Amino acid sequence: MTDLLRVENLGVAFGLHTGETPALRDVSFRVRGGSTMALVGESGSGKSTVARAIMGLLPGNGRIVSGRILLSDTETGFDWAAGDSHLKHLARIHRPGLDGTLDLTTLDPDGPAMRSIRGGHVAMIFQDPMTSLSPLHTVGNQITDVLDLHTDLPRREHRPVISAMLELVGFADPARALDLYPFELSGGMRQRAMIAMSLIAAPGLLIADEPTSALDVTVQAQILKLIRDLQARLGMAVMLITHDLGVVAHMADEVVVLYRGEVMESGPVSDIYRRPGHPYLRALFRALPRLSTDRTARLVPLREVRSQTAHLLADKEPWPAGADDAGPLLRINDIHKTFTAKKGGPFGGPKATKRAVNGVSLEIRRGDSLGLVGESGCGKTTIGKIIMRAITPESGSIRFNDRGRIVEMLSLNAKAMIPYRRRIQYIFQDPSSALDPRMTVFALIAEPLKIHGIGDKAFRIEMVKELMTLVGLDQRFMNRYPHSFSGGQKQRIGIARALALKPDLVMCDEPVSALDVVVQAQVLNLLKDLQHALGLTYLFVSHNMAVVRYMCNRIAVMCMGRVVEEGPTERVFEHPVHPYTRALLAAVPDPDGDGDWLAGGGAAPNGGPSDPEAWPAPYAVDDDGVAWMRDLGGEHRVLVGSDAAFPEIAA
Amino acid sequence: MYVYLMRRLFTMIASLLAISVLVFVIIQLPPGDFVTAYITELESQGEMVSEEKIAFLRRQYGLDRSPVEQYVDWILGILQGDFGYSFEYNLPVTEVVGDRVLLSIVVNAATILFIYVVSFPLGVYAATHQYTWGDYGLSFLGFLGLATPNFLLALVLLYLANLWFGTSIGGLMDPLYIDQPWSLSKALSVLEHLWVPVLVIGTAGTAGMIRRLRANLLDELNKQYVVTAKAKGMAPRRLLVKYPLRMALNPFIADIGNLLPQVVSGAVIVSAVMSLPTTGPVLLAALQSQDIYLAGSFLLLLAVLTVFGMFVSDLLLAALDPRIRLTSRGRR
Repeated sequence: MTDLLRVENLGVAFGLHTGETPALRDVSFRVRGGSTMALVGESGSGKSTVARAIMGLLPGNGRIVSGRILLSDTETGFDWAAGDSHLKHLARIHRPGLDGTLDLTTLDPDGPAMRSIRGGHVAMIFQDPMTSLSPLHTVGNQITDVLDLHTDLPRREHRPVISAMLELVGFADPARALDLYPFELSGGMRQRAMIAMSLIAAPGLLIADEPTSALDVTVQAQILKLIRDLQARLGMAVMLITHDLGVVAHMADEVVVLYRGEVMESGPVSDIYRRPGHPYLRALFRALPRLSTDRTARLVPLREVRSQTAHLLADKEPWPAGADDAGPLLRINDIHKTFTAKKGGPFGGPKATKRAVNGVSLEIRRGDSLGLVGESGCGKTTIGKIIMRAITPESGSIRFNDRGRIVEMLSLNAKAMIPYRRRIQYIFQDPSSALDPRMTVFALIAEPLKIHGIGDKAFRIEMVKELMTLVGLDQRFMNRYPHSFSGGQKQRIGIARALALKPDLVMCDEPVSALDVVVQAQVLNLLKDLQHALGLTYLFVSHNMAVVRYMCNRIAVMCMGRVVEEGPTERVFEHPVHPYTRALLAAVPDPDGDGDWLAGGGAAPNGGPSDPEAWPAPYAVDDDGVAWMRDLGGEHRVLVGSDAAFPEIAA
Repeated sequence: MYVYLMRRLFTMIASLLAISVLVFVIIQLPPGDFVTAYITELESQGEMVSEEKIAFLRRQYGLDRSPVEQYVDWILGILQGDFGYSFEYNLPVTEVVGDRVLLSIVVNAATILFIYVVSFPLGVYAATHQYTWGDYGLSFLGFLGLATPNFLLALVLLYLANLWFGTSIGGLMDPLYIDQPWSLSKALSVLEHLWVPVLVIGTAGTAGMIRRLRANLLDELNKQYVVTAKAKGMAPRRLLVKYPLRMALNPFIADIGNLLPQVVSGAVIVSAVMSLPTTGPVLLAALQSQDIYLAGSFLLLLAVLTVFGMFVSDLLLAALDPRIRLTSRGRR
């Protein structure tokens, strides 16, 4: 195979107020025709800058300062078998070739030569399919642009060609999809439309910039499988930009590791994964929670945060003996919550309703860490909000064990609720938006104390200092503002704030999903240490199966507002019973997995594993149907819709 | 789409009814009525008015009835094309207003056209050339336009127009044509006089519109879908027109509804200063003398213009933006 793209000693700098800051230094790598190269690194490492430099799409203040980007002509094999009656339209796509090898750095980024390469020879898809398509133009209209620009296909022949392409990327009714607007499609379908658009001119190289990080795991698997299938079929090379080492293991032939704008390591995936040479890469591997390794083995972050408890935090009232006999710390029973979409006006149609939570029961014992997993829209965050009493459910009960006394929280009014707010605290997903940028760290952490009128000024200063030490932050940073901290540090400030009131139960809503792998390990370890040191109970909401496995001793899997399976972590991970749980687990790309992760599942763009009506008996449940949890022994329960016997359960 | 249209028409009629009530109430709010004002005027001229005469006048004008009856009478009349009777002019309201409405519409339509034609290219230029001298210059001119009082600009321009082109001061046509039947030369004379008020009334609106369009377009230019379009290899100009500009048009069109009343109310003062034969000055006088039917009809006319402008802008928005069009149809 020849080198399709060769990047040699590329340097890019960004002009800022303070002068030029280098973003890339001496970056060299190659992408061979028809192969997949993965560019790995944490956020801010310069991955996207590499892609943008190749595409000639650097932002206004960015500039290539050194190096060459060499692109060679490629013959992509659009060889359509006669059997594909519809797809034969695609054979009509013809794109003018390239004369020999071109150095892209010498071209004017907006000039005609670069424009014919962009979208024609090298195409790109982006992270967020919600924003990367124009909301005002139909899918077909946006794809037509590419045919107009890069092929000599006459306009009247566009429709069948685009329709064939949409069929190829998995649209069930491509002729109709052509006239749909992006907002009428789901995230996964939008990304498919985006892929169709980028591939319609038969590019030799597809740059995929985090193509699945905004999507759910099961959808991620579908999209990656699609990219790989198309690659085999169309013969293009793929440059996959990602931070997910699991995805790399299953998708890439070669890997380039980028750290702070420099290439740390590059080579075939198998070599690098077996013997990571550079310390950074080794650290990256050790920081990654996995599905298959020892659950109790501690993650190793690049820099460990040392947590210390001191007197103020330590003297928490001990639980009276026998208080745990009254019941678990929190028991929620048969919670229902329906959201109604407002349809105004005297002529409005019937109200659209969505069952966000449909009869959920859970219990969290003191000292437990319960993981609540599921894909976006499954109702896991709604549960959290209901427990916090930010949302009131239609029916159900929430019983809180207040040191031996059971309190029905849903019957408390706002004022009676206040003492219990101290017992339950919340850690948010996005640390940046959870902290008021106008408050100092001291003001942020001390705010709960102030609200509940605890202690005087001296006490609060002492307490904040202790909390900062607890989460491994330097006490001297007390008067700084949130913007001067990194994402991980901000999340630690959020944790300190949640612990200020010495709560019994802490709800962690996707606490690490906005963080890089290395920082994620740091925060997870901190949360684990704090649980032991302070005797905390966690409700840990996450979509990341590996993280939940590492953090929690019990897990509950949610889908479409229902808990479909729950039990001790080991049992659920080793013997998943429910089809949805299995689909979720199968969709997680494991960096150690040798098998073909994408071989199973993935193909179905509609319905799929998250459609309760598509589950086989006895799991099938229609929306209004009755369903109950069947006990499998060992506290392992699974949702069933009928009494039919289980099909054999794979051990 | 039809449901949307029906709903929109329904709310439009409902809000017009509400406005008519409000207008009537507000006109009735000041103490006294037209007769009181009339008598005060007569007394100030040294005339004595007997109690009987006052009562007679009240009865004649229908002012002795309850406000509700007066309102119902007025509204029912309007539905039949009868806008009531102006006490001040002793003429039916339609005759008092007559030509003035036509001229008002001409001035306002010309002003809105002027605002759009001028601000659109300038706004686009300012956004695509952000932080260049052109952008700074336009911003400066825009602030100047926003800050200059309209009447001052009016006086200066009138003087200059007279000095350079010999245009007669004030009015919308040469004094020769006043009260003459419409003819080609009269229309030409109107055109000759029209540009000054249009420029004066439109300056502030234009300046504001340039700022808004620039800000909208700048927002859109940084959106991800623009990068996507660039990655397709589209040429900058074509890209600009097809994607971000199309998005930036939304607020531009939504503004029609805001612009209409703004332009009409701004025109009152300018019209008074420039003694334009438009509706503004008459409205002012009618309000002062509590000539209820004349003032009420005027205000209602303004309301109709505004509500209609909103309606048109909503329809255009729905035509332009599929998100509005399709989600109103009731998905899911």
